[in-house]
Amino acid sequence: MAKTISKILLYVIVILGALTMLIPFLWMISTSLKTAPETIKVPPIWIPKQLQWGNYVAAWHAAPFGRYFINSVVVTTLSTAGTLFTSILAAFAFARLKFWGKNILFVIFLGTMMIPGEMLIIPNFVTLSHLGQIDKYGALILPWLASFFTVFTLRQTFQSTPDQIYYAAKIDGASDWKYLWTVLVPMSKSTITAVTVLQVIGSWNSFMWPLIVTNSESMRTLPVGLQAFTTDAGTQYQLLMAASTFVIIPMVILYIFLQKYIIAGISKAGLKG
Amino acid sequence: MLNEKPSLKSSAIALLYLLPMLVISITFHIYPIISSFAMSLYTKYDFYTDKVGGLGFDNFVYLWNDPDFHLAVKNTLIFVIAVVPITVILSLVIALLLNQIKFLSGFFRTIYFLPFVTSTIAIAMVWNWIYHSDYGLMNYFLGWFGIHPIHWLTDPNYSLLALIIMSIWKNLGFNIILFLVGINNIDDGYYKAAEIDGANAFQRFWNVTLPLLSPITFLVSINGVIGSFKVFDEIFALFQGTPGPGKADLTIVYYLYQKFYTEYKYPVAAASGVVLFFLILLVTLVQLWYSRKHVHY
Amino acid sequence: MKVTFKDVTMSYDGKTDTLRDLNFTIPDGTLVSLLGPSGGGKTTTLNLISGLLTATSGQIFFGDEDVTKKDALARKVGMVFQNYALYPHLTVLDNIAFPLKMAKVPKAERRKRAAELAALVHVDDQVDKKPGELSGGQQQRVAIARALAKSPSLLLLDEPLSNLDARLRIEMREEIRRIQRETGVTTIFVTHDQDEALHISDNIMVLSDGHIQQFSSPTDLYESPNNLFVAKFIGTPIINTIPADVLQDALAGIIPGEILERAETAGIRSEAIIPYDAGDAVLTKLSGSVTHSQKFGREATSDVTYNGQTILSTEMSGVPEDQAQLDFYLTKKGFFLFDDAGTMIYGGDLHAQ
Repeated sequence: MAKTISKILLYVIVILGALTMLIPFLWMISTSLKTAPETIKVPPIWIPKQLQWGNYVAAWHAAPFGRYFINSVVVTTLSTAGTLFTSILAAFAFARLKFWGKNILFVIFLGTMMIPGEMLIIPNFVTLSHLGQIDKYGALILPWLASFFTVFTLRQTFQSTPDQIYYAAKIDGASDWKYLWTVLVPMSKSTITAVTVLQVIGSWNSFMWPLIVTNSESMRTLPVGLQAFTTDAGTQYQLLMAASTFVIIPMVILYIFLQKYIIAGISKAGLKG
Repeated sequence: MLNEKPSLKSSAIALLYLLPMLVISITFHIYPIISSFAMSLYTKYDFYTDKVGGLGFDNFVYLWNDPDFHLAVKNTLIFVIAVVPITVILSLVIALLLNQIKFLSGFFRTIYFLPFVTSTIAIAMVWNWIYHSDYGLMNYFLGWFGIHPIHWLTDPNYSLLALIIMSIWKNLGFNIILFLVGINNIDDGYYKAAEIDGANAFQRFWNVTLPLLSPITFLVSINGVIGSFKVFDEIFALFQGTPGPGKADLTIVYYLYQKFYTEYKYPVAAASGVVLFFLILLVTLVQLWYSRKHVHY
Repeated sequence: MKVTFKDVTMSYDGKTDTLRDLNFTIPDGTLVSLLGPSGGGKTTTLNLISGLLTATSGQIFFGDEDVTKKDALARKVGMVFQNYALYPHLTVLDNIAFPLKMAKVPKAERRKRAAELAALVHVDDQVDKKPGELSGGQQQRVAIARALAKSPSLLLLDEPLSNLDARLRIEMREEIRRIQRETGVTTIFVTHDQDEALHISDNIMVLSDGHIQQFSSPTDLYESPNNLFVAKFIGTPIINTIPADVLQDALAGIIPGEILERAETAGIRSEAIIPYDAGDAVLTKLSGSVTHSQKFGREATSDVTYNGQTILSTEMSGVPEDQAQLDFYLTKKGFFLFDDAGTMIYGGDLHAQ
């Protein structure tokens, strides 16, 4: 009896907590489907009389969200692909190759992970403006083509693959380069997926840097564009919420499909980093 | 081969593998670290010509005398002290509860984790709406308990609290995942042994779970401290490009942003970045020192 | 391919030598086992042959060609690892074809060759599976097929059976023998299990402390060990060793005095202690008592006490225990004397009939 009660209590608490987590999302979607007068009804209504799907179309056209979306896709894709490429190569060097100064270099990079990224903003802004890249894709992408965090995580995985597989590949006639791309990378698929997804989420949601390096409307990424949109939308909360929804949706879909990789990635990186 | 020592040839080959990462890292991570330390000492600086007129501690003196910076440090510290412990405790509790349930546990995990993948800007818009003093959900729910509407975003007394509540909500998921991994890593044998030794559920929690989770707790709090010291996006979105009513939500990074982006005082901004770095370093070292004494491995 | 080591020394840290001045020749087309306790230098020797390790000094020849400075790829060896080291993301067929792919053999051809090899090792019904779906024995077969794919100069096997259960181990060692005979490839097999080595090898090299203790046929190894270490290492139950002094009287006149004088230890195989007079085969007659007998399946052992020493016999199962005095016989075969350095000075081939 006592066991049943505590079980019920447990579920009640967990469900209440889950509701707290969900309410902002539900409220966002609910508002996004209301008419303007419905948004300011007191007490609030959760399900609008008629679902105003038109709000999404209106919001999409109220600001150049199509352009923002393309920018976000371009920046996210290129910086993730670039980071993966540079990190896989570097992680392989740290995990397998023999070279002078390996440990020192590794410690230096570990040390740089201690530095708050916000400190780098000013010098990077200066560098990129001297390179004439401000308000261009260059500024949005270049600094994010390398991530030591990714190198570190991949190195751990590469090191944990059995030595004998490496020897077998050598005996079978694979060069280091071939071994990396035909054996090691396919074998590390789950870690690579995990770091990729984390990179994509981070890049898609990043705000401060794109805010600083973009001036023109046509270069804004989604979060920056959404932020700017609040000034235009004013109190039209149904449009704001519709816009927020389509900024959030891609990552939520990604998350739902790749949940197990994201969680594996976080635990791997988090527990070791 | 296997017993080969690093040689000129093997180092040159490794360099080719490292090169793409090194080029980006040195340009955009390593050089800027040195550069921002240096810039914090520039007393006269012309951005357009990149000319430095003199060196000194003027920028730090400026910060020392700037009431805004004092406010930023104070707000940041309040934010960290409020957010980190509550997040750690809440996420530990939720992780323990989630670990107890079987039915729909995957579903609940998904929900708790959702805020982590969500754009801070987008969700801060939603919270901005939730905090609306007339039509927001927050005041509506508080109304059930007879609490009068609060001007969350326009009353300086409440705006930092509004930021703190939203940040805790957003940070929970990530930490819950880490705790869940930690809990799953605890060998069942410890619990069996403790049970045989006659420990009740609470004693098992206190004497087995908590000590064995201490490395994760440590990690979660370090992560939390570092992340919270750098809070910016949430403020910018929640208060629509302002540091809150009467600068009530001005933090160090927000200060840095203002000096840099709206006032073009690059050296002062760089100096505030340096202060941020040393503050984080200091707190991390204190945590490390504390963990040496209390974290069980 | 014939393999020759000339004065090969190997040191990992530059201070202690794992192998010192190794000299041997492995004849073409034979199956040779490297046998010895762990840390004896077996795997190091194998890796030196494979080219995965480079010798600190000395020369290695494949046939007449000096391959000392060549890497694994150039030496064209095939290798099977203890944990099989199959590529988990590739199918069985792709695993077998991998060395051919690296050698840029056209796709159709390498698939054909891989299928042939899969048939040779009897995994032709598993070719589309991933290694994770196979049993240990099947994985081992795939690993052998992969090693054979590039028609290697040598087939090297590093403790290939140690991850298999006992029954499978016997099956697989017969398989390795069969495959070796069918392909005729010179095969070098590392193991710490003497039984395995004795069953499949043409020749066995016993390695311990970085030295070759003996390199000979399995029969010679057993019947004529070079030294006490080999005598003790080979054979179950382990050879009886007693101080030579104990037998001094019994052997006087039978074995030349100058040999007896130098003898420090006597080694007696358990089957060399028999309860009846076998005529010419007998070395000498002793008397003692059976103190303890045990039976395991078809094997039986008896502890025989002689002159204060206990020795083990496998031939006395019919003899009752605790008989006050019993005459028993030592045969010439299976009796050895060793000097104080452990070198064999009497027995085996040295004084055969």
